[in-house]
Amino acid sequence: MNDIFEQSIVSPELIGIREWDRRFASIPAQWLDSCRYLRELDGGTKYVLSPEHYAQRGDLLLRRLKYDNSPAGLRLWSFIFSEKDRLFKAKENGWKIIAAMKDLGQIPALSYAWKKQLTFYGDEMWWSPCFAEDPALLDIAAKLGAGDEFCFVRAALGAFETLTYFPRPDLVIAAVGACCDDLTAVSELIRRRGNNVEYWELPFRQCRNDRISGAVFASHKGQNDAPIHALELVEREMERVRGLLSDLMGSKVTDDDIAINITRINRARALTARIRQLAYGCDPPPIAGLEAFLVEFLPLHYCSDPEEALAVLEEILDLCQRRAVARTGPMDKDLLRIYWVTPCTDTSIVQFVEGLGCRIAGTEYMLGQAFIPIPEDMPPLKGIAWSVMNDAMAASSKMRVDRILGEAVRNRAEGVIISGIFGASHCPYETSIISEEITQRMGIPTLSFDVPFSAGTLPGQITTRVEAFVEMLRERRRNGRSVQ
Amino acid sequence: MSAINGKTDHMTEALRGILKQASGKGGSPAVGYSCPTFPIEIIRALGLRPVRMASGGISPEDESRGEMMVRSDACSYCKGLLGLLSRKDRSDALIAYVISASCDQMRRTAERISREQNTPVALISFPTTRTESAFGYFLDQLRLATAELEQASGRHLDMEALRGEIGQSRAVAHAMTHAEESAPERPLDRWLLARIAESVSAGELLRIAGEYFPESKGALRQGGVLWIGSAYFPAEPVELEILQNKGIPVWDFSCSVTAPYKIDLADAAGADDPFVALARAYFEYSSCPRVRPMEAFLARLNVTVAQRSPKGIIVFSLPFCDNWKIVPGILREEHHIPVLSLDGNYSPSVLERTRTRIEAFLEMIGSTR
Repeated sequence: MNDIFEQSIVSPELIGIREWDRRFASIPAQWLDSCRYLRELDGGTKYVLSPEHYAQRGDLLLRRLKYDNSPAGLRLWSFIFSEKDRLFKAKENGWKIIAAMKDLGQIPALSYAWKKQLTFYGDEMWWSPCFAEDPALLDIAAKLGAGDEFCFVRAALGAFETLTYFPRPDLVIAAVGACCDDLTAVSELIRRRGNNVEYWELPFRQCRNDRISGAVFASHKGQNDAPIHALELVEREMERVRGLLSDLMGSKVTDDDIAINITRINRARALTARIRQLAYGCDPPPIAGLEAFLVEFLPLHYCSDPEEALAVLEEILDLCQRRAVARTGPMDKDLLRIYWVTPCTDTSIVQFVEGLGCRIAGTEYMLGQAFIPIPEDMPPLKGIAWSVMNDAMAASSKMRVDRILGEAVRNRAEGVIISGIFGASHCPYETSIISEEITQRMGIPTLSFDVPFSAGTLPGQITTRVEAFVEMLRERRRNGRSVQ
Repeated sequence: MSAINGKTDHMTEALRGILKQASGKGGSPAVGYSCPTFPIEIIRALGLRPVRMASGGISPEDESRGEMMVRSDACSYCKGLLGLLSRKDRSDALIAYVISASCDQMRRTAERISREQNTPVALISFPTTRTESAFGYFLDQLRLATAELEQASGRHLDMEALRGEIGQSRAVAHAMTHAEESAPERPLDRWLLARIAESVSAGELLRIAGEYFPESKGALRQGGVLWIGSAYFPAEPVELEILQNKGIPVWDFSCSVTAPYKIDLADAAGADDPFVALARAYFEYSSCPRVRPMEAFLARLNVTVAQRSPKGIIVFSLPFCDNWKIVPGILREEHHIPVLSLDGNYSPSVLERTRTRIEAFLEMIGSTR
């Protein structure tokens, strides 16, 4: 085994972008050559590069971050940041490009049953202004009617206008209904700019013990109970989406084709679930919070390459397992355990928290549905409907609260950070409910704040509050008041 | 009197008096509803009294109280509703709430209400799309909500009673149409009439409409401005009072004023299954810009624009009401008519700014008298 691989197990650490530049030369060329995306096109394209390479292309925040010193970690970062190359390459080669909006893992379960198309997460642009340290996408969105009363998802409108992050999609499939108002509004503005947007109805999903009444529930092993009328609607809607995709692709797929794709998706979901268990549960954590953050986004849409996404996840899991056995990781043992709710638009804040002597001990990034296997013991569209019902965005806050409490208790979280998004239609309501429930049922402190766009620097208001919060957690631990 | 000190005439004062008297009336058990996307005929046919939850007027204090339950970047209407329902001096005893999730914030408000109140909440997730599949979902939910109301009240929905209520609603719609046709320059009075309509019988409303909105042969049938926007329930809308004092025609397409009364119930009245036909009428009527694609909403709006040829359109939106926030830009693309995007909330502090903006807009389009 080459030194750099072995070293990443024996002496894991977080290194800066300059250090990765220096060490990059020691990565074996053979391994770099084996990491390729879109292998169906000319044998694929190599993409593992130093983070500086991707920073020079515009994502300047990368220069302020620290990275896992493993090749597997570098592959993960490179895979995420090379997505736009895949999309443009596929388009140039005549493949269809599909944007799935407000879709956290469901439409790809259907669309990747077709070959020669890529489905990407169209509204993932919410993190782009922070990574680019550039408000350009937000400014364009404001000019087109989505100003700063809208959450960062408005950056997607800017991206559809500039087409610098992706080529014009042949089809945009957007969920509306029980999803955020910001995206519902932004999707329509995108449609009105000449994009081919088709909507499907995402129903509200009650929980069985909600005091909101009126539903009859169905149960299925391994899934959350779901209202029957909502399940039936999603199944009908998925059949409609299947028709749209057939028209676009000029071919039909069978239930068996979709079932095969679901099996592949479930593999990605299982890998992600296992990585999360290790990353958030082991001490020391085998990978840091940001690498785990990126992992969580992979099973949503495979970062536009299912085959390579599985390889990336498998390598990260292998890294985590080896480190867990060796009891090593890039961070110290026995750090303060923070549970994180809602993805942070400025990822450097996660590293700031870790730098204060904390580790991430669980997350609820509203992606939980993408870690639960899609049922395979029923017709595939019905299985996808069950999976949609696990989406926290479409559910009452109770589902999120239960998910948070389950993992926070299991991993003995000592504090919860809720990073909100100003203007997002769900944050003003959920933040208080989540905070109240955690305080009542778990008795640990919570800190909530909105993350503003703050190019090139951490917002002082947030750093001060986080520092005070961490100090309080430390004091609680000293006084024996932490969950042990 | 409102904060405006304007030229309100005796008819406005009389309507205020009627509203004050009517809104205190008790009688049959009441059900609170949030939005005209739920057919109130169902509530009435059960022998229950529908009460639009915000109809009594949201005050700035209500909005502040609501802000203690959610964050400041929530929609003012939702915050106001939460504050209103948590008033200690509330006297309306409701046996249930029927809340239409006409947007994400409203859905989450329903959840918050269910946490705060001991009253059952039936939530209708009003579909955003207009497919047959979505209609089936809407119908399913109406049936579930009806069952919930039946359970809460111990009554059973009778189809003949429902048919009768559909007829009553058509009479109410007639009264509201009459008011708009005979007095387009009195938007505040129509707003008051819409509030009165929520508390009196159809026959009584027809009588009031006939008395206070006498047929005016000189009424302007075109021009003026079109008023649309967010659900808005202040104690009294000063914006409409400013417009009324200008004496120009104001056509509205707002769910707080006359839009709910423009649902076409003609087919439902004679249908074999009035429940399904009623659901269909509500489903297909789109006064809300949340419908996707938005063409269904725009088409309905365009009918009013074609009929009335307004010189300008005022789009009123509350903070963080995303689906209305995008409307001004879209209308500017669709029509060659000046559009005023008017922001507002329940705070009196924005009154002078609002007055200045409305007056400047009217001057610009040449609609001042």
